[in-house]
Amino acid sequence: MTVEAPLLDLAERVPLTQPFTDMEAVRAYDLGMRRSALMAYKRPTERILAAHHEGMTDFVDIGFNTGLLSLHVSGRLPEVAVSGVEEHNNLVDVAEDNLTLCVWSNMAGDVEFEHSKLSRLPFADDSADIVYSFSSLHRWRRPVETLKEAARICKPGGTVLIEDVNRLAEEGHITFILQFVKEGGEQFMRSLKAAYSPEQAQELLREAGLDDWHVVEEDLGLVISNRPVTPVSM
Amino acid sequence: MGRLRIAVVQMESKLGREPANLRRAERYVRQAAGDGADLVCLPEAFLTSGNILEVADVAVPIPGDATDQLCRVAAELGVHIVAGLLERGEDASYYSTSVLIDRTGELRGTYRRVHRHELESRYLAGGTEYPTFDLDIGRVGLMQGYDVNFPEVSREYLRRGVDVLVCSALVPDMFTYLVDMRLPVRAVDGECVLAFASGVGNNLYAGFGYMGRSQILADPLFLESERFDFEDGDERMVLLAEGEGVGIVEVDIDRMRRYRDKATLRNDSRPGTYWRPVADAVTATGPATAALQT
Repeated sequence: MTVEAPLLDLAERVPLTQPFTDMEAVRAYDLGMRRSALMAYKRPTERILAAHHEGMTDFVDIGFNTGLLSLHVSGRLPEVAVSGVEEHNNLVDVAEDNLTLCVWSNMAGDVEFEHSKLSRLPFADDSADIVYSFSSLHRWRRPVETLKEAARICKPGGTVLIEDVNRLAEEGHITFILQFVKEGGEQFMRSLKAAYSPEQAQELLREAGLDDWHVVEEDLGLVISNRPVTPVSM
Repeated sequence: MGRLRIAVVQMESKLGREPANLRRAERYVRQAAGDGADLVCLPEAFLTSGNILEVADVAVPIPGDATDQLCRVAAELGVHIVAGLLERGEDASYYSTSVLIDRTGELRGTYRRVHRHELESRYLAGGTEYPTFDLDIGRVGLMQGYDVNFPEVSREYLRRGVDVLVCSALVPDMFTYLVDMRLPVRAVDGECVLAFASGVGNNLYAGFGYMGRSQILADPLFLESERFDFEDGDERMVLLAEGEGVGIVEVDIDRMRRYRDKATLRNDSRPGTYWRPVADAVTATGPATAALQT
């Protein structure tokens, strides 16, 4: 008898256990992103910039990883205060190092990175014009609570944009990425296995009482928003 | 008067990131107010961190944008706020200054730190006054971290009858032991509540950290008279460790005043015998008589 192991084995979600506990691994991840994967930040940046309009003052980044997206956005919109929160201390430390270098090189942006539980954000109700998150949802410990928090802090008329990988993305998109991430392939696959399917994302929204929010598939990605989203293909 | 909730905010202020430092401070003030604080105390130089090498670039006028924002927050939340700032004085000098804003949002006044260590003296001028502020919560005096080394400061405030002495601090961590030892003594010296709001984090320019250990203390002799189960060390009613956060405690100012009315230390002191000229006294700057004249 032969057993045929599925190539990617992504049918079931496998939550990450204790991610980012190794500081050296976090630094390696950060360097890897900076050296060869900056392209990944382009699409969420464009989406945030498209949602921005005159008079906006505050953005919040939920789960900022090593800070690269917020640093990029802030450099484009120096008049906006960008506040990032992250619950893994090693990620906070590396993001702080990245920010320190930006401040030292006189970046005009106004960014702060803070350690915080994502299920209880340190921001007032209706205080953020745009609430965004990129590549973080799959490791939120209490995703329903964090979604509720995103809704709580977003100003009336504001925008929530949560992007992550789609565990059930077409295999072609996944193998395309695997060609490029090389030694980071295992880590990428662990994250992908921990990611939500579109149906699961809808279920999270239902549990959070946010049934009117939208879930959109986009190549490898999944976009959750309080506003209609037009998928963009690379 | 009566019961008063005091909060100390322990936070890291980062060099070159003033707007973010102000936002974070504001969030901590909101957190403290949400927990019922009447008086919220922020660290020394909370806006800029201890950036005295660039003080000419980072110091702010008082009043100015930073205090205007604190006034708005104080009025909105109905809390008194004490905060430390590097001040650009109207006399073109720079000071390490604490501001007091009352719960109506009025900037009531400032304390310009009197004592400066040697390096600081090249950049900062020193104040000469020990102001007090009568609020609905009691009489408040202000001091800053380096002042802890000088018992005269808390004695001056004792003379002025303060109930709460707020020390906004940003102390290099090599002095942790010394400052930690002196703080309870200053509470005894002042026969008051001492709120020590202390910065944490690292000075990236100079490679040292800041001590943190924010605490709220009361004169242990008062507490001992109040609590039958008082043990030595209980005078630190709140003590934060190294990280950021807010510590809150409730004290009864009326009871403390009643205690002070009968406190024997105050009654037994002999002010007329102190700081009289001494012909052969040893001081850093020469005869004590000369020092007394400055």
